[in-house]
Amino acid sequence: MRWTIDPTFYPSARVAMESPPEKLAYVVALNPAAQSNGSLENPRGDILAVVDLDPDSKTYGQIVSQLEMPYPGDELHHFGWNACSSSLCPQSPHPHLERRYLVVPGLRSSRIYVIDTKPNPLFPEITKIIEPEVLKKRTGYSRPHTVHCGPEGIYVSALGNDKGEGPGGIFILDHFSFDPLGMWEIDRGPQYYAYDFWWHINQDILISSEWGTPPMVEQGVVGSLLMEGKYGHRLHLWDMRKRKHLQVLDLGEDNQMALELRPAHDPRKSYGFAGVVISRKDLSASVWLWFRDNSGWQIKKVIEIPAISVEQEKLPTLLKPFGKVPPLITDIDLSLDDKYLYVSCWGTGELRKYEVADPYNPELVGCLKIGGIGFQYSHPKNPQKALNGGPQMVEVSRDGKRIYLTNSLYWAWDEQFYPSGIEGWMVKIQSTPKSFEFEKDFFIEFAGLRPHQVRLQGGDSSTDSFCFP
Amino acid sequence: MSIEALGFYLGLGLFHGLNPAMGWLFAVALALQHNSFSWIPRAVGALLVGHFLAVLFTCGIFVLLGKALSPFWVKGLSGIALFGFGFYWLFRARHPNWVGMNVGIMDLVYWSFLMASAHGAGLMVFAGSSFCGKPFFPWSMQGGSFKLFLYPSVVHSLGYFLAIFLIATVVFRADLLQFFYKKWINFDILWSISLFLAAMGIALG
Repeated sequence: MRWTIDPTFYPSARVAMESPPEKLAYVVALNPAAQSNGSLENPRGDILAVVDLDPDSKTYGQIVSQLEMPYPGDELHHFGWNACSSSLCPQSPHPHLERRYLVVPGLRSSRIYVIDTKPNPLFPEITKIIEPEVLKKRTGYSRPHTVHCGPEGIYVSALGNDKGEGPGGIFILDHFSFDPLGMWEIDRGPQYYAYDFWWHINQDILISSEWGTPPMVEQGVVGSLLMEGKYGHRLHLWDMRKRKHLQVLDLGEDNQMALELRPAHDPRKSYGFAGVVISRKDLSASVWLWFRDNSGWQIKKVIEIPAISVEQEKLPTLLKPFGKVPPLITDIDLSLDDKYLYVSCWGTGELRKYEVADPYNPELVGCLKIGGIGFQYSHPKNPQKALNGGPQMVEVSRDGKRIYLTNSLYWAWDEQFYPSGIEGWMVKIQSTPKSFEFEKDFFIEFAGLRPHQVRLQGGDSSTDSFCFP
Repeated sequence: MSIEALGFYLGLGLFHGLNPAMGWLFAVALALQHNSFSWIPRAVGALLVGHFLAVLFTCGIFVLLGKALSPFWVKGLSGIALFGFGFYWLFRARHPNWVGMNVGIMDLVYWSFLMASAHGAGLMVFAGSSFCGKPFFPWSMQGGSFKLFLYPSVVHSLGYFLAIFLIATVVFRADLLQFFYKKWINFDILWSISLFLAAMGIALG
């Protein structure tokens, strides 16, 4: 218990932007050998890597330690902090909690690790493991995905129910003991698919998105389901106080897989962005804006990125019939000042920067290329080396000046879209209103591993919720 | 009411109001969210009513208990309750999840009532009787009346009101949140200490 407030809790996004730059990143990485070869004699677990981000340090731009999970095949994916700036929210203030533990779910195994970063931030330790059976029994859910530190508990979304089918939803962990407390929803209405969620915290509105049930995603994308428009294409609005479904925002069947949700960080604003992976009509990808006006909540497409034609021999089997590479928007991230939206096109190997000060009319202000299906753009550190995978999880520093990017999506999907295998990398990008470029010497290779989400020490642009404007 | 008693109840009210978890921060947040100062008096009024009712309610219960039970039992029960709340806030501090941020006046009254009750605010006021030169409470009074628990509750709530109204106004007007939040000491620990002190006061009183 602390006497003073955790210095990494910020009342507002404005204050968070003035905090000192991050010195460490925590990055989860998948061990593909444990997935592709079940008969390995000593299969290894996935890892949590600690990356040095302090330019004054001798080990800057290197992995300083790796914590290996005791079980193989978890498929670590997204994760989050036990506590964040929402602890300052006035209706249930917990200012003396600490941003200390990482809650790291295994998307495939349904096991959740609670990892303590405090005794030695460079060498975090596992302090608690929630076994899949416990999670299923206590919450009725499996395949835990997004973790958000809420004002009165840790919220986690889950793709499937305890039988591994639909519906998916959200459950709560106690933020002292990390015990699963149970299913969050009281009335889920028509919601069935789950994926990401976040909220307009001061408006008591939670918003959730749709991917598919575990059988629809765990063995890779099912082409027939995609063409029939069967993947998720709706957003759901919820009353956070009553835990009740309020409204569906439907993007239409052509828009398949509505994934990442990035509400404005300013709690007075009532809008946010949702990334859509692919259109079954023309393989384009899109970003949608949800917003509230006088007639209630609405949704509107604000960015569309077309597919690019590529010679057939460069395409994986799945894409050969189309002769095109789809952009595949797999992640988006909004800077804390709500001014810039970064959009990962995992298929075409682009990281796009949009100015979204006017959220209805995003303006493309920058584009960097790295990896990509059939393109294999290189990194300035080694311009000769063709890279695979593409911009995927994108994390923006609190001050908005540095962007971190990794290249792996999800094991079964990696295999389909990059069948020659993904060699994991992480890169850093400098972003100012005038420039947008790779930091030339920052290129981290993850030998034999595939990095996914990046979390910055002290919080980043996709962890914290603020109750003050 | 003696001057010591007056000072005690007023002071305890100021102390309660100082805790950001008891309402002033909520008032600031609402005023900022709605971008209007008018939410400060509105919220403070609602918080005051909730706090007053909670204190009145708790004191009332113990005064009524005093009519049915011997002073020994009333002291014992209130002492145990104070220790219980003290340990709770030291080791198992939990906050309510029944209120969001999109609240109206009645929600705030309810929230304030529950927060004050859950923090043992009324118990502290009640226990105060044994600190003050002239105890108000049943074990030393004949008959007992409505006044017995009304006066302390009113004086206490006045102190609480002054604290939250002043702090909320200054923090909102001067945009002090950025400065203030860093000074947010752990009131849960202070609270526990006060509850233990109150319990000891009763035990020795």
